[in-house]
Amino acid sequence: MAHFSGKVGGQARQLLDLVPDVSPESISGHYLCSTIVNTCFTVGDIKVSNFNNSVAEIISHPIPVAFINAYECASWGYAIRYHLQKHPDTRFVLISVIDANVYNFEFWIYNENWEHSGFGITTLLIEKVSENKDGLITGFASGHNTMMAFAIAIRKAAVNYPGNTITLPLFPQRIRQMLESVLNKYNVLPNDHKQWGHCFGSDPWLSILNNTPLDSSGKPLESSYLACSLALNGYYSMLEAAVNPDTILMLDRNLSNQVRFGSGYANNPNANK
Amino acid sequence: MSFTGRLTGRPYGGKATLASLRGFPLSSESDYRNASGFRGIRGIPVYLNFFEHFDLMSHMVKLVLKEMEELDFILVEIAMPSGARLTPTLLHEKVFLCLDVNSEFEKLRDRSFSVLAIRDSFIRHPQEMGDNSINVDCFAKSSTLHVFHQFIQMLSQWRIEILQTNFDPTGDVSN
Repeated sequence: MAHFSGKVGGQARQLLDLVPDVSPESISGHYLCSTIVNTCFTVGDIKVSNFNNSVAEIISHPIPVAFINAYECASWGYAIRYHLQKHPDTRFVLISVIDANVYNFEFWIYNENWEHSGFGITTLLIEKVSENKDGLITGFASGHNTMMAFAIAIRKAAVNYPGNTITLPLFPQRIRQMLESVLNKYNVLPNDHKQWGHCFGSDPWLSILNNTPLDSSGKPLESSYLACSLALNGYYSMLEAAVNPDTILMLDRNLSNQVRFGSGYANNPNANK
Repeated sequence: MSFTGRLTGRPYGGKATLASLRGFPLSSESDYRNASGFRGIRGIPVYLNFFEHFDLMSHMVKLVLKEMEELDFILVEIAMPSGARLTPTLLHEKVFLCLDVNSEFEKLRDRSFSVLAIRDSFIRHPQEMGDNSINVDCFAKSSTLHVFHQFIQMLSQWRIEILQTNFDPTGDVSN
């Protein structure tokens, strides 16, 4: 457990060290969101309260930690929804999307639903999330064709963000083609599924990290996105997300190279300040 | 206010139902080897499947949403559903599903929110850890006391036996 929580807390700590002007008191919550990290808790190998406390100790800031996986890949959006109700005036919220193949099960490495998976940790420090509460949408894609219902929900939401580029989950091209056929009037970030596999709730953030244009000095250009995640069971989250030259986008390539389509976990720090 | 109980039988009576164990899809020798360490707790009976568990939680939450409208939050300790789909009631905006509900309950109580938290360890699969117990904590106005009492009484319809109750008025959010 110490190694695992150390990776999660260590990455969050690394991110907070990069933004010394952000006081820990202004970060009112840290949500550990996952799709596949669950069995280790239900079979009793790790106690979730110990895991949360361990992460908090590593960060060494008094930021309350909560673990959420019920909403699967859409957990990050439901965590933000809850946090905005709890702290309506919050300035920052810290999210760690954690998907590690703890028992190295082959289903998580490859399956027919989304083919290859990618494992890693994505850490997000999101600012001003409370200033545009309408920019967060959580919902439930019902009916027989969840994927189509999800695409239609995005199209409906995107009407309010005509200039935003849509970031979709990383899926095999056959699924992406279906989604993009519904969204053909909008800009959509490229599908990096071949490179990364499906990375669960990290997908939209990894897409932003990989595809945001940079200026000649390496700073991100102003870009507006509609970040979208879908759970296998149909729950979805969307968030209007803006990147500007002050945004820190960082990928730990040393670790990420080890985990492409493999087991274990990567570091994909993605500071969105 | 708090309540501790235990599921003592099938909450849906003698009606036949699929086991729906939602066993994790194991495909290789290493998968079986790695999963062989999951032993669960011997001797604890399985009274419901994953779908029935979410259905039961959904019924409880629906009751609370209807009868205790003044609550700011309802916390339910639910983990990744393993194939069973959460109901629209469990996705209600007042409801937050997380692990370690106790910790979240304390955070909300410290901020003077009125909150009800449901934490169960109902076993849905023999490899799960748990003892079929359920705990409900409530921090709300004292006027809610009688509703909370009614809520607890209604749990018996699902074969949940009351082990301990605490109607301590110190839990009054208006204090």
